[in-house]
Amino acid sequence: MDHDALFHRLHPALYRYLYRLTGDADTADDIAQETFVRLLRQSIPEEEVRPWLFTVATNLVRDGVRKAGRRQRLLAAENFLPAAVPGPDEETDRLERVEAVRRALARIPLRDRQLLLMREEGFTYEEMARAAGVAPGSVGTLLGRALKRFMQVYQAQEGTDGPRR
Amino acid sequence: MDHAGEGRLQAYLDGELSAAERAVLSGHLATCAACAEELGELEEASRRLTLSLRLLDSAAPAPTPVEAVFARARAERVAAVRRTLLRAAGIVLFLAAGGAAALPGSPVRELVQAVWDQGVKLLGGARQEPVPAPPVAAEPIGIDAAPVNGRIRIVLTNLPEGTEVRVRLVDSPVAWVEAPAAGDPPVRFLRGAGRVEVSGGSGGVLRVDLPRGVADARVEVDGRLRVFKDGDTLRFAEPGRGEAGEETTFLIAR
Repeated sequence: MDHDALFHRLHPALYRYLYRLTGDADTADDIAQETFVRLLRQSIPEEEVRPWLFTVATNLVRDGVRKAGRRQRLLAAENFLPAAVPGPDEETDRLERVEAVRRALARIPLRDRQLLLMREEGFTYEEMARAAGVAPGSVGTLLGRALKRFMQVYQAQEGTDGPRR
Repeated sequence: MDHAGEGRLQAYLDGELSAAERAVLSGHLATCAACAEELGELEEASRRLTLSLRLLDSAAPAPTPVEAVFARARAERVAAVRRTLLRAAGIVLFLAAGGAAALPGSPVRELVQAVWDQGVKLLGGARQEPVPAPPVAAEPIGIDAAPVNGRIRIVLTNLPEGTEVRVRLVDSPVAWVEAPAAGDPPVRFLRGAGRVEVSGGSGGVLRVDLPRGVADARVEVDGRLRVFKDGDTLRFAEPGRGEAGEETTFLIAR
């Protein structure tokens, strides 16, 4: 297996998935790295690497919720995050909408997020079912409900009709 | 046909139905306004989710360069293989030596006995003090961090006294901090925006690579500025030490 090629091919998608899943770039970066390091310790058939990576990464997110919570508090306490830069109204509006998406994702269950985001990455129902530990026949129903839940939460908190083009 | 249900509609939308199932559902959708409406809602929600995620992605900072991830993964893999080989070699040697020493008349047994007798004689029967194990060469581990707004801070806290900190300017877009992995407590890294915190560890050498291209790069120890980038060189913050060139070393002292 050409690990170098695999890294180049799969790392951007895994980072994007983790950033969407956790809403935190540092956590996404750390977990993506950790997942690839774990991949090197395993012997996985190449065709199974992609679902394996996403499953392991999701498990690391799940296992690290408490630790991540502590870290977030530390970051907040030490003003790690740069202060918001005042800008034109358009930019402020965009940042507000980004924050609304982040909050809406954070407020739906992790399994809903996992399924929605794996679907966005083009995984099959079979692969999603294995990763989430659910029956393949239930994935469509779970996805439909997760989609509606996300839209309800997003619209409820913003009082808008969702993201604009 | 009864109403399709949201699971089948979602599967239809995602192309997860067989050709036969799809044909049946298509026929149903042509005559069932309720299911057609629900399919439209799912389609719309799906489109909006995709737009939302793209919007979220637009705010994502660039991840660690793939090359750096690969380098770390490769380093850890090499370290893991080395550890496994050393462990295996140690077990083989131990078993071989033990087996040889157990044989009456074997040279290994005589050697062990001679060394033991010599030790007892030298110590004069006194109680032996435990001898500290020689330091084991620890595989380094590291973390990188991208500067934010041209600034990068390396914050070192509670490092063991005597830790040697080697700082240098490098031609890299990101900072890199590396320390021996072994030790109790183990070294801990914490990465924030434009910042890396390092604490604990077993001493030894801690390597700090600062990107040459940033406007502001600094290394702080227990809350005090020690070394900072000043133009194309490093400079000590303490009065009297001044310029340190492109590479410098200092010891953690209390």
